[in-house]
Amino acid sequence: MLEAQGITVSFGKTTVLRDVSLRVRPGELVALCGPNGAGKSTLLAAMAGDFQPERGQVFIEGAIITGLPPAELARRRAVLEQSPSLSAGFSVGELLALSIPRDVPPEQADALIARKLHSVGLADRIGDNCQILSGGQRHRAHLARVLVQLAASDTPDTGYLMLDEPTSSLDIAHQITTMRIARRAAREGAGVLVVLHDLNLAAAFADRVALMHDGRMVADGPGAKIFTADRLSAIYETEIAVEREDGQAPRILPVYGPDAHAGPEL
Amino acid sequence: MAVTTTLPRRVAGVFGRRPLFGALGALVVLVAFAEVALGPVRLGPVDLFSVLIGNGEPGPTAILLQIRLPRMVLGLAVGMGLALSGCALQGVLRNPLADPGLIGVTAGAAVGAVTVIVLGNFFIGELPAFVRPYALPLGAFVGSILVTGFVFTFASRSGGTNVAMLILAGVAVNAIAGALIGAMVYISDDQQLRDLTFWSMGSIASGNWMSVAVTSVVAVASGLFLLRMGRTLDLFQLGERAAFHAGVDIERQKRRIALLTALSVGAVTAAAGPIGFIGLVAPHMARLIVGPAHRHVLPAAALIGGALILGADLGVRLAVPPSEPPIGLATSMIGGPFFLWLLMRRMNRGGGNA
Repeated sequence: MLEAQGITVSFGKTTVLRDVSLRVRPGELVALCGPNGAGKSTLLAAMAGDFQPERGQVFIEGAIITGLPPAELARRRAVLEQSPSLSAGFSVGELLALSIPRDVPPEQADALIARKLHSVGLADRIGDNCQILSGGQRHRAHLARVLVQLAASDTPDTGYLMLDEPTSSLDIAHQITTMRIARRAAREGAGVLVVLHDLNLAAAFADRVALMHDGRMVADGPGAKIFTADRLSAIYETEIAVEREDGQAPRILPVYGPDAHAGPEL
Repeated sequence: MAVTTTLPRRVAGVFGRRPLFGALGALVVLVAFAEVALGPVRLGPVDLFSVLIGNGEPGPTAILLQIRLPRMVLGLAVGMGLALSGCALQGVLRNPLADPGLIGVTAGAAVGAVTVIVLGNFFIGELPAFVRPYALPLGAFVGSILVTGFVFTFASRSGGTNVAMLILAGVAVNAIAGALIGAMVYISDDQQLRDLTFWSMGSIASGNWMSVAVTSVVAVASGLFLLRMGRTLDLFQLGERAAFHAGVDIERQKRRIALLTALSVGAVTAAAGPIGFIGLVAPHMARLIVGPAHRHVLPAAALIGGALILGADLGVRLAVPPSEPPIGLATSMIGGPFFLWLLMRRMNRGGGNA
């Protein structure tokens, strides 16, 4: 289990996280939602072991996460940053190969790379320079790199996959593909934590949604239960409607108000 | 690990890498041979061979063992040390213009070395006896590690990949170093002044096995460590945070690279003076030939660096015999325009960080 226990984090005088707790169990997909500045990315970073919280502690399989050496940590969790970058002119295949540990035989490595590239829909781009890919394609290539890291560790079943807004630069179809990939990783045994702005994706794909506001955890449970019009409208400070149909994920709809228009004006 | 089938169009994609490294190795051997054979007195293969088996005539023996061989060894060590340092700095700072000369590391080493040359009389007597012969490289190392430490701190504050800030910081460091060296020149006596002037133009003609040995051992030792850091440097290309997520102990690896490059540049500068642009040119040529992966770029850059230094030395020696203009003039004359071309290419692309 990956667990944040009552962590508090400040940058300078600003307190970004106040006494926040969150658990991610193996085989579970948890979506982390909330308005801009709620502290989602900071919580994800703390749970990735990027820094020691001021108060509280993050545990991975019972061990204090900041106490583990980086190489050991990399075998237990893989992280996709919000804006992944690459300064060298690597090809897509070379980018993914960065995640392959030294001791993996080349044929096995090539097969793994091909498989993960296929899963993000970039199988035919393996030889292309990353710099000629579009923004969304590049993001998916980095997703594949992170998936390779998770799969190449010697204990793939107990790994954790942490994705910070993986869908923000993707078209609708690829948003769904990406969430399916996250789902599949969970089904195969990984604990998956995904920061999402799209509440509908969260409601549709996550086992649990953790809702943050102003550095605090305000709700944690199945999307169908915690997404209520009142709660969302209060947190986001804009009117939000929630439609429910039996047997389906709730649909979250913003109410645009008088300034929006349905047809041509002017 | 190797995904050889997936390379984009580069020289390596057309020919494969093994023949390329073979060609680079052959080039180095060829230039090294020319370096010992050519000069005011031409030595043929027969002369060289008989000297090497201890059977040569006194003239060629003296020329080879006292002048050309130390020069060749030092040239290879200097080229390799500067190229690997440049390569490692460019990799860890994610900045293709990070050359030890441009960002001030060489100037820091120069200040340390000049201080030892000019003020050495006052404090060398205080040093333990076994340290005294190494005072010059030690001084250079202290200077280079100070600047490297500053550059790393500075680069991590300004976000690492900011090309302009790093080069501007280098301008400032070089200006400060220039002033300090100027002050040393001002207080030096005539003999020191002459030493300093020639030293500061850069030359591998020391002809002194002692300094050649110290520099070569240090440069080769730190070079061997740097050569093993290919994977780490590759991961640094993802940015420091992502490199950490992928398992790199960022602070430790940065300290290691800072120490190794400072050692290399310090040793090289102490023996050969400040030689610019090799750390910039060699890695770029290497990337064009073998692609961006550091486990290939590092060895290729080391070979190219050695060949460039010896080639430049041959060039200046054969241009106006029997006088021997300092090699630093030649590397700057080639490297300066190359640097400008790089700058203009980046401006045309419209990006600061591509």
